[in-house]
Amino acid sequence: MIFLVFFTTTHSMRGESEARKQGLSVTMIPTPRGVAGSCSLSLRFDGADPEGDGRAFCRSVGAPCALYRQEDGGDLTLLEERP
Amino acid sequence: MIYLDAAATSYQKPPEVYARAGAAMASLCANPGRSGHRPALEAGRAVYAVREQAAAFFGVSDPDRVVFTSNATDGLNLAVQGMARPGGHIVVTSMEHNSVLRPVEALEARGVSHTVVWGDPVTGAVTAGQIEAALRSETVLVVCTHAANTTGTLMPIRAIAQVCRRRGIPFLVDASQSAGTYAIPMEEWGIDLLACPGHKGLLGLPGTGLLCLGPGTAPAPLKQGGTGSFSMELDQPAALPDRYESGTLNTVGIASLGAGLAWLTAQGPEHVRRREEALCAQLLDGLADIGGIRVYGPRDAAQRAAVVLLDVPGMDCSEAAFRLDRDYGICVRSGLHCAPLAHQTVGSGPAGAVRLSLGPFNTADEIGRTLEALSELARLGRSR
Repeated sequence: MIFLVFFTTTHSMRGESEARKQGLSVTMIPTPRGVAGSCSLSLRFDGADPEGDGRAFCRSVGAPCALYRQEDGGDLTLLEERP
Repeated sequence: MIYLDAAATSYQKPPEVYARAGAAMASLCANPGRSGHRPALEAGRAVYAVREQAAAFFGVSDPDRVVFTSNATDGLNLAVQGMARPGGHIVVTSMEHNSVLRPVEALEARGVSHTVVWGDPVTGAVTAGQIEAALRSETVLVVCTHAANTTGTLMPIRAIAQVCRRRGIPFLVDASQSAGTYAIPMEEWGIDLLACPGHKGLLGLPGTGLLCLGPGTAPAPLKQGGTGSFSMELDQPAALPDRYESGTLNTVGIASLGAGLAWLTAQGPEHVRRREEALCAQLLDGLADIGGIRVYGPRDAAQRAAVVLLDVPGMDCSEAAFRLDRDYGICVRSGLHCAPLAHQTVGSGPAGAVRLSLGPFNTADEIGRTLEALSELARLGRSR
């Protein structure tokens, strides 16, 4: 799973709105607890190239965020970060 | 009923606002920004959409800098107290509401001084030059209402903003009586903080308000608490708008505010302003023909918001307001309107006066009937 973590609800909503405008296939999910213990929301990328979509979007979205890959076993890898 | 108390709150609202409020009560009941389930996301989306609407409406380039408050008083307190510093100095005008004057007064005990710039005794207006003359090296904030809630007097906020920008002093505008009627592109005008209620000219429900922040403007938060973000940290988050929005938001109210903003955007602020100004001019012209009625503030409707303060001859303002309501079904407000210095400025203190304040749904016929009622009351008062 490739997902983009936002750190506030406002940024999550902004990110979702921008992603949909770009025609990306995304789903808003609660952020896996391994990343954030807050009531944080993330965007899961569901298209044919989730990592490509995620990296491009992370660089373009106008809000602090962090892109992660989560393996089936739960291992997390930070792919990109936008402070 | 003829409702002429829009300065207190909007009574008549567009049907879209009622519909949106009802729909929100039925479908947006989850807490936005706390859980990740679908109802919570729907509520979060609805809140964000209104944040974007408000940002566009007030010319704020980043919706993060639109803070939802519970009313203008809430926003003004956050702005005034949040920008104050011990040893600092705040400039206000005599036409301000107590939601500015009281926190400024209370700050004296915390070592923050203030200067009151007195308005013109006839119009209530201040000039940018008067504001500039009051500035000191330790001034940390200038506060000015856009339109006085007593006399409707429109203040030169663009000119004052230019003075403040030149002097590097943050400028707070109280837009309680002007938001929704007058276009206020705050960043373009150089306004650093803009506070307004959601339930007056913006036509939303009570319990809503906005504090819009200019780039780099960061008052200290008045409250700390849960924000649904950075929960591991015990310090209040720095991220906007969370820094100022601890606690559960009034989702239904915010949704209604969005419907009000949409309606106003569709009408265009010039349309509302022209309509209210025309009704105000009709009222002022008619009052001038009623013997003994004294009107305070600018004579020109273009120099005031649609708020008119008056005395009925031979009649206490409370009695006048009571008779208007009981005998004519006309709703007005009497007294000091939470603005004692404004009344002192224009000479309507210490007992205050009768205030009529118009909204976008008042009609020329209603103004005509109000003038007839005031004419009869004036005749009664003169006969005493």
